[in-house]
Amino acid sequence: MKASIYKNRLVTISSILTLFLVWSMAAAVVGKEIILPSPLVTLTQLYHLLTSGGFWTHLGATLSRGLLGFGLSFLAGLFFGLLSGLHSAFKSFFHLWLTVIRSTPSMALILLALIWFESDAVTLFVTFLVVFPLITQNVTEGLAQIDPRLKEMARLYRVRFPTILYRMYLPAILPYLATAAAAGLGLTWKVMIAAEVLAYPRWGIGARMDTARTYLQTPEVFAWTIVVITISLFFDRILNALIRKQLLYWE
Amino acid sequence: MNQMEFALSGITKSYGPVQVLAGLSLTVQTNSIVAFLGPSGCGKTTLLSIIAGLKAPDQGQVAGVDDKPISYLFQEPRLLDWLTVAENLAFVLKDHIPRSALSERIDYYLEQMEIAVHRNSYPRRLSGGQRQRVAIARALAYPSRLLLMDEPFKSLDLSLKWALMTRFLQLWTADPRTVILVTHDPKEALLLADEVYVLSPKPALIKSHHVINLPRPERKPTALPLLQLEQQITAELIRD
Repeated sequence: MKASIYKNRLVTISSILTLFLVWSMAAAVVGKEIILPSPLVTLTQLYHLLTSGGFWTHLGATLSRGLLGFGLSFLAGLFFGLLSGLHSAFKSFFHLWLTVIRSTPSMALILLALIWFESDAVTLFVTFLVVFPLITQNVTEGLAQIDPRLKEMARLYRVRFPTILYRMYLPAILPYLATAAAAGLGLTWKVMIAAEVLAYPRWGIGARMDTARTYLQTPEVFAWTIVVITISLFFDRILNALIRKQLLYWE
Repeated sequence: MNQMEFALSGITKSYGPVQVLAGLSLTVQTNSIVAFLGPSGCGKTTLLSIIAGLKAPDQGQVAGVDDKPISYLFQEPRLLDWLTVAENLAFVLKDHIPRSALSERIDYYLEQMEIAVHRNSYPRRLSGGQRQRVAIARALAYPSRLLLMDEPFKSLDLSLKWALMTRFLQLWTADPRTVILVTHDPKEALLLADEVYVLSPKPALIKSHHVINLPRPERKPTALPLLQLEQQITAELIRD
């Protein structure tokens, strides 16, 4: 067991090293910082960003928008997912809406939102429309998987709805909810940055990336990208740790 | 004692072209144990579902069940995997029992079913027989007027089966209710029931009806009158 963990670490480390090596070599071949900055230049730029005044404000703005957007989508998705899962009429009613929303390119959503709203609202609106259907559909799917014999048992013993909801439905859909949350949060950061690039809010990582691109400061674009990747990985890790702890504890 | 709990009159039920119940009529006395014996697939479970109101008969009526509270012991335990044994009992009890009495009641019935040591275990950790005992404890702990049991002792080994049947009778004597027992085991029916109905294979009709007058304390698996009746019923069942 220990040996295999050690081996896995070794593989991970060599994978990271290889990535940096390939990146360095590519940067050396291209030879132009403006096209492809080297890892060293990018990391130096990252250091400058971290020590500059605005960094934490931009980071905080993107983080709070992302978490707010995700939180709203999650709650709304849970609510509408439960409605659709428990009443087939709701399911049929929402099915078309969800399909249309999911089939709409996020860029189209962003462009329309830009026409309708101010920049802060654009990012929230777009994140919501991308993440909300995902949560809703997973919750509905989770409820459909509950053994009908258990539902029959609860009905026979005249268990009241709140008890059924908290003790049967919610625990049963937890694995589906967790999968949806992990996928949804990952999507949140991707969509949020895209929306910020176009909506250009005063504070936000996406807006900084677009400014850097305009002034051809490619190292800064790279540095911000690393920040976004770190955010995404960080929340993915947290969520995974929570899931591992909470999920399927009864197995 | 001789008060009617409920009555079935002319109950028929078909699934597509297959008729499973062909006009059953009978009355069940309050606080009696009535067993239905019959070959597998003869429609015994369908009969229980109709009494419980889970299924509607094609024709005929169930009178007297109305909205009486029912405990239903299914063929499989039907426990929630994510709740502990005690929480599984609490799941069905908490809306019907005062909170202050809940824990004591759960412990009492788990002890009676000799499964109290597992009160904080999750069902997946238990054996099939242990899970079934939890389901029996749940059915008995539930404050019901009617207890419907579908092959409740099926998955248990012989000595445990005997021990739990004895325990079941003690609990029933202390807190009597009307019990409908469905089984394919004549011995089980004769040890527990006041009346035994033998059903024919599909479509089910009442083939014979036996009233067991032997007092329960005298009913041992080896008691002569029971053995004679058992032989008679077994012969009826084999003939089909």
